[in-house]
Amino acid sequence: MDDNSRYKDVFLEESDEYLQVLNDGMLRLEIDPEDKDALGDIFRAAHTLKGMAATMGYETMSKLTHSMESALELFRDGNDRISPELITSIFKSLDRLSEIVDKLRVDDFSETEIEDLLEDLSRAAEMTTEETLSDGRSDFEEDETNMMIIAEASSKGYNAYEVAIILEEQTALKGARAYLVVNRLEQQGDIIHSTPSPEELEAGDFDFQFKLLYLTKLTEEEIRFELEGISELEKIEITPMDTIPSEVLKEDRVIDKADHREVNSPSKSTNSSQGASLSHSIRVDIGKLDSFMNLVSELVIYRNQLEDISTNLKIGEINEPLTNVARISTDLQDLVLKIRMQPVSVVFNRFPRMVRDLSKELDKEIDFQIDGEETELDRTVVSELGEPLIHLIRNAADHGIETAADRKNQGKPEKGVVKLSAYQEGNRVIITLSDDGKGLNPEYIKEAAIRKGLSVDGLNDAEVQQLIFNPGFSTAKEVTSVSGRGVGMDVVKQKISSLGGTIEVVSEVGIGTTFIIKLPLTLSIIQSLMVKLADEVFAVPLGLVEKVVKVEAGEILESHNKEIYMYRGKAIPVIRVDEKLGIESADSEKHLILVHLGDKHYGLLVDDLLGQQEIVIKKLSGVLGKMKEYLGATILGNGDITLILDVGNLCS
Amino acid sequence: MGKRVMVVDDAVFMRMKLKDILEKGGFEVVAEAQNGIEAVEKYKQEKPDLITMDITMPEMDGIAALKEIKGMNPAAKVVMCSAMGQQSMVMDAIQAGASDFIVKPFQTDRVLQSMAKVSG
Repeated sequence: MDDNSRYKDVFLEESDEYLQVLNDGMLRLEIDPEDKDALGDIFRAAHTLKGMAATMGYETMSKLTHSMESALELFRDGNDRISPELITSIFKSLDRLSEIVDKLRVDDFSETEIEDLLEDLSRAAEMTTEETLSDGRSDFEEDETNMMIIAEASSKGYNAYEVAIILEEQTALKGARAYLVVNRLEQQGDIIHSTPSPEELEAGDFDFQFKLLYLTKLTEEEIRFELEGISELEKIEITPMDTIPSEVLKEDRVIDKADHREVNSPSKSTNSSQGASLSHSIRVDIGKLDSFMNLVSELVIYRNQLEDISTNLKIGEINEPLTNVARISTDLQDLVLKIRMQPVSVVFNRFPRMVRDLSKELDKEIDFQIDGEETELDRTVVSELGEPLIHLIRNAADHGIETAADRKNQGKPEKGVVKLSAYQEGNRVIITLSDDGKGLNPEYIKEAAIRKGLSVDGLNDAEVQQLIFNPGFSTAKEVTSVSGRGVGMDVVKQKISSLGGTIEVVSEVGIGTTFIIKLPLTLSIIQSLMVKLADEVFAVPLGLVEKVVKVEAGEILESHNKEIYMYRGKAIPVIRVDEKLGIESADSEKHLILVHLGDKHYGLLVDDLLGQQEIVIKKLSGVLGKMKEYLGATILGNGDITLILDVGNLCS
Repeated sequence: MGKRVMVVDDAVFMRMKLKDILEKGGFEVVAEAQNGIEAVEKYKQEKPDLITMDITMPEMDGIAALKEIKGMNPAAKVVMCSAMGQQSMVMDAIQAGASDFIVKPFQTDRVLQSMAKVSG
């Protein structure tokens, strides 16, 4: 099976996806055993997974999937005596399968013990099948469904044919041509199946051939006659059904009898000559995407250089091509950024399962809600997001939500709610995690802070609550296996900051706790406003800038030792950036950059404005990396290095 | 005698081209129309065996004309003339009963193949 090794990456990745589908499906089934959609998803996933594992020669995996599938049969039979044990066994099997996949990923081929699970599964299955009619069918084969339809139809006088069509090589509008064939056939029968799927057929998304499974009262000759009236068909092959080798159908999906033209089941091709162009998407190695991104970033740097040169040398002819280069590289950037975007559901998806396990383990009832999982973020951000969120969710389940008894005593519903939501706001994505648990008690935090030697003087309750992000801070009175001790919130905060984001907590005792995480959409390229302070140039992320105003000396007012500026009738704090950064700047006329942070405005006072530019963020490291005034650095067109101001930190 | 054909297209050039192809292929072009309304009128007068029908035309487009003609005579044989990128309209036409379609730019053999198959 060495030949399969090059498919391994795809295999592993797809296995992850199918396991996710299985997990999701089981969760849905656990809530509603009648959920036919969930059942359908599960069956397809289990079946495909089994086939994949067998093809790759991973026996343990295919064995386990097989018995899991058999156990799943019980659900399909509409058995209402499905035991919780069975569900737990299936979940355990899924975990074991994930383990196997993880081991394969690192080329660990040692046997994974599965006998215990096989036993559990078959026992659970027997227990229930004894009470129902056991038809001895062990395996769910999709082509059986087709066969059933065919058998039923033939009893009514219909014949089944496989109709294979090859179009002429230069056929234009293949989709419409295929549609013409389908349409013609359907006037005198039913197409219950197609390879590729009906959507792909209509979209013309196939090489020059396709196959249809056709039920009709017509004879072979009559079908041929019908089809001969259509031009540009190079070859028409009509085979009566009983001679069709089963593998033709095996990989395909069942088509809904009721509405054969609008089915959305993607089907796979078994024909190697067709295989190449059936899908609308391809998988790309992340590494390639990253280097694509880097190249585009460099292109932007050189474009900026070219623009500089053109401005300095005043060469007229170069302007137009340069404008085009600028436009295209901007488009290219947008595109690569979009390609890199991933919905947060990629990480969110695994949480329902986790919360289910947590609630069993902690013996608490938790209703876990997810909102906005389609929100997209740069994949780097998405992939780094899992760890901190897991931590927060565990905390919410463990420390936040009270036991059912406690909740009842407080007059709360016994079931606690943990809600995870994501949405986009400007060029940032906000993720909130809230629970309706006991909240953070500022008194406990104060006590703990004092024990750790932190100063709590003059802090209000909200400020005290932010102390939980300090290193080594934990208020958990007891340590449970679920959430650890002390290490945690500071690590979460660090992680979020390293992604260029912020985290804060809002909590009320007895009502609940909400964590608000704000993340940048992308990490690499931003629009920025270039400003000057004394002789230094700095970049300010444009996403935050609301407006820039020229201010006269008298317009900045003093109040309570702070400088403010009146903007739309509101007083907003003025920040003298030069003082913050320790730069001496001339007291000439100033520009005030009004920035919007959360729900607050701030004014940043700078000497001069240079213009707007796209810049590539390079992370700072070493001593510079620790300076919180700067987000990073960028290389300008003229080769100069400019620091990017971290507006959030400057204003806080 | 060859089959009697009506050519419907708003462009004179396309009608000439098609007529040329068809006549060389042994068909008789008995009528020409430059929009859907005219096509329906002339269909009633001439009752051609075959129609080539352009999709995009002023006044009444090819699909509307196809529907009217099919309404008068469900057995009417209409071959749609489409440009690349008009797939969804071609599908609408097929749904409405078009017998076949040919794609611009026209290639003589393809046009004749289609006409021969449709006239069967």
